[in-house]
Amino acid sequence: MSDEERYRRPEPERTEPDRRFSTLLDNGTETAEDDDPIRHGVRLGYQVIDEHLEQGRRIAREINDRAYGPNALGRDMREMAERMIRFSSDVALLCVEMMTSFAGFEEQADGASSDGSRRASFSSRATASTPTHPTDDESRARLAVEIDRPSRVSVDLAPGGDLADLHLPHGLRGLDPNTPPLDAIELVEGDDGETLLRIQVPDDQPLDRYTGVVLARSSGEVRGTVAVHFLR
Amino acid sequence: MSQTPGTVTTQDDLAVVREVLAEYGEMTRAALEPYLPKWEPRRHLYDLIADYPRRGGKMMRPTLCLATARAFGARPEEALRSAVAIELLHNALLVHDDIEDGSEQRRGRPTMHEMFGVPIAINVGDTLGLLSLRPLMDNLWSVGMRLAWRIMEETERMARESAEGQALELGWREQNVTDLTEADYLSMVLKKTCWLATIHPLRVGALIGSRGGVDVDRFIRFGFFLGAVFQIRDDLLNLTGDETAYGKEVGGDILEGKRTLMLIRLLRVAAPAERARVEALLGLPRIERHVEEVAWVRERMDHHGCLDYARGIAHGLAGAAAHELDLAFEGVPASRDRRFIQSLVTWSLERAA
Repeated sequence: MSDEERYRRPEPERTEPDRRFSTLLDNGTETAEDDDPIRHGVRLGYQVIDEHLEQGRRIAREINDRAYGPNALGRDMREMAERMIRFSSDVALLCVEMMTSFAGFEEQADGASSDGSRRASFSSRATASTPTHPTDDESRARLAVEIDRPSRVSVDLAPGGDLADLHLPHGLRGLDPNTPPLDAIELVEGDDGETLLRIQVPDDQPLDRYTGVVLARSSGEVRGTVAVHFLR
Repeated sequence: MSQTPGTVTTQDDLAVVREVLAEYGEMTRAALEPYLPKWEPRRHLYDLIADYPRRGGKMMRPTLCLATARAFGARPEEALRSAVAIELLHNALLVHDDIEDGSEQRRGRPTMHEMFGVPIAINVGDTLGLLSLRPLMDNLWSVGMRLAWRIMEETERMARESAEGQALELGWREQNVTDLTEADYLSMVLKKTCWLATIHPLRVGALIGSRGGVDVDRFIRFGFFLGAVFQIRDDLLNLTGDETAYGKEVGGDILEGKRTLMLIRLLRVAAPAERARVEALLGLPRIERHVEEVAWVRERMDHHGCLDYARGIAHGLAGAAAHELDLAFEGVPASRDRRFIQSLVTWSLERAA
């Protein structure tokens, strides 16, 4: 069959579900705007926003054609884009939140004062754990937190990967930009194969909410975040 | 209470809006304070930059950012720096807008340039805008390099859209354009108001909450409809509001020659002689527009039902916002933050200040 004889379907008017709110109200008849400003407002609103989005798409296509063709990307850029896509799809996070209670902290502070230090040591074992592979529920890594001030500690980590590969090179920063950072934070190997997040807090560290990002040493990717809120 | 199409909003919902605005607004104010320098020169700069932020606005923009981030699962502190940046930039633009519009009051007190003169006010606005960069850079510590950079890009887009919208409106006034359509008005509002007030806070909050895992273009439609309702209500309050609660001079938009939906409607439906009189008034320099003429324009708006017409348009847009919200937040679990965002539609339609 020649190409001219082949039956061709007409181009469809649309290729996606029509979710416009204006079409829900539209019964196919034009109404005068004076009669129904509500209907007119909806139709007008969609007309304006659809045009705005189409304009954005046109600009994006122009930019895309000009700069982001397959040959325009260097190898490093392609690798970076692939890394980003991998990370973006990896949105299910392990969330660990623990609060060091005042009472529990005091008991441990008393016990730890034999060396004359005012600093107490508190270690809380997280019940949550992370699969070392996204599909592997059997093999799980455990994370414990040690901090020497009553605090609420929250750790979000992307599942998968090796906890030993993680670090916090920037420390933790307070929401107040004038607060000195908490730099004495490390991820080390703890007892029973667990990973220990150890945070040492200077006695004069101001009260604040501190946050920091957890990076993978091997790739430099962000693998999670840590937040510490001192309770006193 | 009037009912927005597509929504069922109760007094409880509006109470949630007030409660969340108060809570997240206070959180943002506390986090913003350390970003305001306390050193010299204080008299002509740093004491002044604290003025607008401390006047107590509604804090809708930072609250919307925080609530969206929370609805997507983030901790508040992860989005707090972005919320601070949004509020600082908003205040920077207010100082400059007040100069460009020749406004006399802001949040119940004289505007910055009325108190200290135009040159100082311009410098204060510039500095507030520059100060908003610091929390964006500090985002590195709470969301990481990739997201911090992405939020920078989002901020650049929002600032560009806002400037373009402002240019549209200023151009209309400069050229005394009087043949505008309602679509022209909504296009200007989309850029001038919606990108900063709603679209940007939604997009940034969703980026932080999802760790960059969500396509933020889904928030443009919802943000536009919500922001447009907010702006039309603001324009109506400028004509009908209680000056103490509203915080700006009532009727000021007519005096400033702003092309509101009500003015565009009046120009369309007025008799030829009336239209010529309105056009002549708009063609005068602001200082030559007298309150008697402003009162006449206001009376003609009532006579021709321009305010009711604008309320009808706003109701339609609010219904579309409710519809688009369901699409934009599809799959996001129910929470107080999501309920806040949902209730914001009706709140924007009915607020008194």
